[in-house]
Amino acid sequence: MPDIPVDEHIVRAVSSGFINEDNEITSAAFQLKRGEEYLSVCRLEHFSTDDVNTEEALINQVKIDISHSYTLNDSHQLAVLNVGNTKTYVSEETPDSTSLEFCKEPSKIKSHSGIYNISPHPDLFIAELIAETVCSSYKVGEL
Amino acid sequence: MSSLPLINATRLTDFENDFSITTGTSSSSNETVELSKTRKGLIQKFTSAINDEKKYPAIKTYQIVKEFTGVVKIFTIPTAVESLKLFTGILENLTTLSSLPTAIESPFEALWDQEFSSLAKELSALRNEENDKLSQIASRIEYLIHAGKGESQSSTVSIRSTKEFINFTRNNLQLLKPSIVFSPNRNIRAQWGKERNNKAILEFSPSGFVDYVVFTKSPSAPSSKRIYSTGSIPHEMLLNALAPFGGLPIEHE
Repeated sequence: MPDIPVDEHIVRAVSSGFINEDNEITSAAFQLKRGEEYLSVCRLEHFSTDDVNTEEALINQVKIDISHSYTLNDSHQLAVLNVGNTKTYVSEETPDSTSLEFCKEPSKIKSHSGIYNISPHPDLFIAELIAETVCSSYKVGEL
Repeated sequence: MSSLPLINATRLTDFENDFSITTGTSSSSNETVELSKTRKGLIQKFTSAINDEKKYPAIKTYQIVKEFTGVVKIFTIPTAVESLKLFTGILENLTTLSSLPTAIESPFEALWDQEFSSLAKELSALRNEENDKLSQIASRIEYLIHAGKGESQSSTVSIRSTKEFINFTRNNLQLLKPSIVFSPNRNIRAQWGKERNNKAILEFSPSGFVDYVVFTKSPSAPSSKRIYSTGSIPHEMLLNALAPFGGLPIEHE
């Protein structure tokens, strides 16, 4: 599976159960569900063209892409992370310099990708480190 | 689609993966299928069993109980091959349950309804407590349960996790009210603090254990350095375990 370049971004769709009382995305959004091998995300730059190149324009494309097989409602948020920043940060903050891998995982969702190597570390710890690198977020209802 | 009653039904609960499966045969056969407990083993055993249609000609009905969402359904499947496809699909992606054939009433549904009803009563009682903190916590959990119902890939709360959290809260009324969300496994997740060097996150598992991670300032290193602790521990031992890291924040008189 091809890697996503470090200067690109990934998007995680976050449901209301993972959003706190202050409307902030929590690290619950970056925990693996039991049985999952990787964290499902989308590659923001998948839809990048000369005409579609701002973050908001790309986010809208990702939202449409996700909607093909997942129902997003107004209470969902989309979290954006920079691949290089997240990789570097998690590597620096973990005792064994964990190397997360960001790979394209094409499916019905064309931009679908995955974050690997989250396990076997304690789930809460890695999820919190990833959450600390969220660079922006969008409320689906406001897009 | 009609459903046949199960006889010689066997129920297996996979606590680790939070779901149960009951299988059995239609009334036209006395055969039952033995299932192993692990997800992988479950698929292998079930595959070999239902592929042998001569041995198991009447495996047309089985029942799936999804513990942590409380979805309990009985399905009638026309052929063994379709059973396998459906069964494997469910194990691959439990969230597809909502799109499966119409359910009929089962004793397990009644059991889950009973447990959920008991939780709902407990939350309602908590919401009416004079203690504002307990009331706010109950309202927050009720909100999360309600909000989750409208989301396609979300499900309801883990009843046991919620009860564990309520017990912990009642036994530790001195603590500040945490921020509450669900975990991907629908357990209660409580968080105190948001600062990089000062936060604690707990996930209450249905087993009575609490998964935790705490971040705090290092007493000896430069201010930007932080230390962390993470692990899993019975909730009655949690406060002592977190004490060396500053513990959880308490209310001041």
